[in-house]
Amino acid sequence: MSAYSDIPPPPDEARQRPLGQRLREHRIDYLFLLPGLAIFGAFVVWPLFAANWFALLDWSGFDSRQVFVGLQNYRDLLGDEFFRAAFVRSILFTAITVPLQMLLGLVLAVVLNNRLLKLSALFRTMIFLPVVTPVAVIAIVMALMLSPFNGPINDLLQSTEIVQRAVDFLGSPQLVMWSLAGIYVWKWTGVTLIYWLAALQTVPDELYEACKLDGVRGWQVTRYVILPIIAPFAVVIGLISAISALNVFPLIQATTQGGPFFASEVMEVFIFRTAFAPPSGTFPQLGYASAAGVLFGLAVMGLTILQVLAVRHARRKEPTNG
Amino acid sequence: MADAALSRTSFAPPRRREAWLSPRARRTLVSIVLAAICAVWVYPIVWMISASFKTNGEIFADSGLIPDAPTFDNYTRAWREANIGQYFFNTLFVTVGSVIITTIAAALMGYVLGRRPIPGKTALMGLMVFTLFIPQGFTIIPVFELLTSVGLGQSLWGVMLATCGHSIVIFTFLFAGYFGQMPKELEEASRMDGVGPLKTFWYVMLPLSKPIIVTVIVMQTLQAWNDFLLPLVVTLANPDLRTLSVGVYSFRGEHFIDWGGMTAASAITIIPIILLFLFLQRYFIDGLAGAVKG
Amino acid sequence: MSGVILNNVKKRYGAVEVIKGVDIEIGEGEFCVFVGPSGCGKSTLLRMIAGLEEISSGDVQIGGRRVNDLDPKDRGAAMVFQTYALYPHMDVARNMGFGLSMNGWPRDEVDRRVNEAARILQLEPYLDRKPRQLSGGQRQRVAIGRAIVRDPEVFLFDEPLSNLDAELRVATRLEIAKLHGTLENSTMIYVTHDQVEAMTLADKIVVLRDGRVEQVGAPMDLYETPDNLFVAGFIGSPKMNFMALDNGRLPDGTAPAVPGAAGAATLGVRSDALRPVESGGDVAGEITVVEQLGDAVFAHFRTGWGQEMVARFEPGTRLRAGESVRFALAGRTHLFDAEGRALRAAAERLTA
Repeated sequence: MSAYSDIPPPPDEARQRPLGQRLREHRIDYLFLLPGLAIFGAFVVWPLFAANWFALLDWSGFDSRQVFVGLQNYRDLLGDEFFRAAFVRSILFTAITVPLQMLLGLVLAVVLNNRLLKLSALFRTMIFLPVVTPVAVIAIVMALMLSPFNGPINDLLQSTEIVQRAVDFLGSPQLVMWSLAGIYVWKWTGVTLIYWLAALQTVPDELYEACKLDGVRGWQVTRYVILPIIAPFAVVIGLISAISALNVFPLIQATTQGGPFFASEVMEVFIFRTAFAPPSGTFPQLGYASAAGVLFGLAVMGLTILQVLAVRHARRKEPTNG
Repeated sequence: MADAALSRTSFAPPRRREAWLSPRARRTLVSIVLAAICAVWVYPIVWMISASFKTNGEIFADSGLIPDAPTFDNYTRAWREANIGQYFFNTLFVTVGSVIITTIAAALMGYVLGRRPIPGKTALMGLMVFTLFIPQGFTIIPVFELLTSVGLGQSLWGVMLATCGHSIVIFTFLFAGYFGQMPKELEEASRMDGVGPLKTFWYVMLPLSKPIIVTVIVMQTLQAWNDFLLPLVVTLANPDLRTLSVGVYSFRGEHFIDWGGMTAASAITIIPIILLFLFLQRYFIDGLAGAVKG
Repeated sequence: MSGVILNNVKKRYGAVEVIKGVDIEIGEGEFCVFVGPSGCGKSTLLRMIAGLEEISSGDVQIGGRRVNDLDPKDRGAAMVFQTYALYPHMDVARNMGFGLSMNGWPRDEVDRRVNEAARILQLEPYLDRKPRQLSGGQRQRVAIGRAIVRDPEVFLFDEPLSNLDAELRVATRLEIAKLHGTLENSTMIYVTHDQVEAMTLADKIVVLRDGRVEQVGAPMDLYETPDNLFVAGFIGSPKMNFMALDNGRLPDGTAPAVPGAAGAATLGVRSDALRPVESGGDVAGEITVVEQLGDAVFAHFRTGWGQEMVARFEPGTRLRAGESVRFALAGRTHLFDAEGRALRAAAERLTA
């Protein structure tokens, strides 16, 4: 922008006037905000506070009485084997899937980013297809594909004699988390791919041309020019991917419902089971589930803060990209 | 000049080996490898669609992707007996409603946050960023409790409204970012023309944000159509209100040997959304990319 | 009566005062140009007249009405923005008529006015095009058209030419001048940082610096009798040469033949008031750069005391860098006191 406004108003210009007057001036703006704020308040902010309150209650069903029990739920949770196992499983699941997904997405993005590759858009669409497929459908597809009874994968493994007996990918407590991690990566790598492609768009074309003239080629261009430029994005992409990996509930609930024998029960499946689908003969424990949610939320937040600090750190090191 | 000449003679770099493939040939090779990977990648979905046209007997008979005798039985059975038809319209209702509400609310809010120096803006935006990192498991109990207490705990309206909350923050930021970079002269020009704030928003700002509107519509459609936890919870006691996602999920529990019906129900679920994605993928990708760049 | 009067107008952003009490009177039908370096407050002043910026204190009157508290649309002013600010999604006709139709004007009246404006601006063939299908000059004309249809008392132009390339700028400048001829009785206020635009377009120029008016006057008045060093240096191209005077003597000890020089601190001479001489003269130096402009030759030279100055030569004069030159002061000279104020008496005596 050139000399459009000779003197840029200092940012605190508005602050000089009394708040009441400023609120009145902007009354139409607040009217505009109303619908959005109503949704945001009711379904995002309010639950945040309510969950913390519910966590202090003994409350066995939405129409039953709430009894205040203080921190009892938290105390019980810490001693609850299922809770601890689910917590650890969530973290492990994230730790395994995120790097895989990011690496796979990055490799695909670097290859697909070549403008001369004519089918690039088609490939991208195909990789993305599982992303738009609902988890309930994926659960069915995978149950079929991975079925130990004549499922295509087992057919292939057996006919090539990699395994002798059919593998029960989703039915074996030892394998189930690995299978789910694989399904998860398959479903979501398309999104990571898009993220990386967006990051690659920030590399100016001239750089590729300069590389060509300098005789820097192929792998070297990627290694010494492209990767350093898009490195700062890795933190953001990692953060978004980690948050989604912690929200893996739908996929697991739909595919295994946490089974077999709780072997794939991640945090949110635990919360859902405790609150909405208690084993027959027991009551739902809404307060208890809320407390689990709060602890889990705190863990996610802690992770987020760590990542944000990492972003700051990365940005400071690379002021040109800040 | 002297320096250049010197370095040229004393410093002869090893001659680069001739590449064993021309760039064009290399690209072809890369394309073939990618094509193979992508074929494997989409195989499960293609396989499922193909299975939906097979009889239950044929599905596990290892008969390749082309059905021997294509049949629509699975579809009619799923649509009528398994209630998938009902679920389809439930999903449509929830999706259309939540798309309309979310788009309007996010556009209005994004406009104000992107352009207007209102008191409290920084605090509000900070709160919004903060909530981006809250897992859904944390909020599902209060959300359901809230719906129950206003009488929407057993209703599609409840699902529709609560679904609006999922991504409203991200959509608002998309709008805010877009409106924020529009030149302020546009508003000033319309102020000089004597056009009020509502009309300016409606006739000037909103038409200009068409790409974001389409992005938000596409993303919210996907979100609402595929949403699982929320409709699952709301419809636990009300099978009639199930959405397709939940319906397909329950199908498996209730008719666990009818793989043909299951794949047909799945196909009914994904075909609209895949068509939408194929035709509007640019907007979808822009929306996602915006999240990283912002 | 559609003149504009500014009366001790001030603008404060918090503690910072950016317009420090401005008084200007612009008559009906006058073309007035606000000119000054960037940051002088000229755009802010224009936007205060438009109603886009609040007036911290003082009065703005348009057509005899005090408009401080009126909405922009009620002030009878229309504005042409530097960036055109066309609505990208509307065609040319809709862009021009938008304001009217939004305010409930009947459709055929809107059409009539739009067609009239299009005729004046020769935009008729483009009425159903979108802004992005137009060239820069055409867009600028649409922006002007949008102002015309409102039939305002006052046209406000905010650096309307600075987004155009050099050639188009000259052409559009001419069109604006013609437009002012066509729309008699329309007062026009025009902001620019380019003194050439100011000189060529204005009936009256207001030179601004740091939120204050430095001088108001007709273009040639400012050129010939600048009130102070700033105006003298700002108006005219190339820039006026200034030489320090000490008791009537230049830094090298020469006493120039300028009456009243003894009481002045600075001597100002435009490049065309330096006449080359073989010997003697007032100023001497060595040529550093020669600029051939075709209709004139400008020789930049360095004086004995190391100052860069510039002199105009007749076209065709052959000069080389490194050549020694001598000049006599021949023509209007300007004297300024230690505060930079013009010592008018000296200059006037010379012209008399």
